[in-house]
Amino acid sequence: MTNDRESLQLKEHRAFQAKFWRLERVAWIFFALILVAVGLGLSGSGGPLSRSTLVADRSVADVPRFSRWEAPDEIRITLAPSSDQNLTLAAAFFSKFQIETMQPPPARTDPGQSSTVYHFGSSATKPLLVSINLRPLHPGQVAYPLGLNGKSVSAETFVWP
Amino acid sequence: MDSVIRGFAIYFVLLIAIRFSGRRTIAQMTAFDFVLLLIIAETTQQAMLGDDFSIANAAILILTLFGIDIALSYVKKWLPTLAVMVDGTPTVLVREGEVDTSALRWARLDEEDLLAAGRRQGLTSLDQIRFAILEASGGISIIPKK
Repeated sequence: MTNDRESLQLKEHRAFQAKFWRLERVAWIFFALILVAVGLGLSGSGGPLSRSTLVADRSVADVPRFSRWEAPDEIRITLAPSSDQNLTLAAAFFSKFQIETMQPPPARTDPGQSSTVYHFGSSATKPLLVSINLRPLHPGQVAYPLGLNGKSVSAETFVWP
Repeated sequence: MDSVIRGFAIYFVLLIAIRFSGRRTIAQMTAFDFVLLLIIAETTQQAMLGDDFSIANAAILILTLFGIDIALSYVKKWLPTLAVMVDGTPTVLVREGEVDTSALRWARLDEEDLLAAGRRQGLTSLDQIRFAILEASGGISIIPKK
């Protein structure tokens, strides 16, 4: 600490300031690393690592690996041709997410205690693309099974606060 | 409760980000520094309010932010070390006419910034400056030679 009592009444704490300047530069590197992680998609909302693809038989689910609290997100599902193209969402899913829209709308819904099954009809030849717009209700990690034409896959999403 | 947590989070995120960006940022030395602060204010407002634009939410947030600020002012009084860490300390940039180039560089300033501060005091050159101090607020105080 410098104290120029004769000329300048000032407590400078220069040693601390010098350390803090170095710490500042370390913080800048940390800021840059955060932005790189964001660019890679670790904060959700786009980026190569922001989504994961799950396959069950010939059905595919594209789910967010990282999402943001109260920010809109999407799950894209391609259901393989089947006599009953259906999607099952577990209670764990609804504890974390609110479905805003589902396209196409299901022909029939079977709500249950532990899961809800959405039936979309049947097609022996055409796969069906289902788009679910959702909004995370709470921050934190959530694991939820997805049923694609009755075949279960495990999905995991981390919701940033 | 959500609003209080959001208020706390944004307050401390801003405190850390602004403190570590250096005093040059808070001094609003250029038009862009000022614009940056405006953008940050707008961005944080969205994050704090969320989807709730009620008067109650705004009032809770205002009280939360003032509350944190008042509480922190007392904590800083009790813990002077914390005050130095949070608020920073003045740094002498020119001592008895000698420019501390190292301090200037670390503080992301240059002689032009000193001259600009000097001109506000009616000084026209560096050799008229006896002391220049980068204050904790980010401003530069100039003490001219007699």
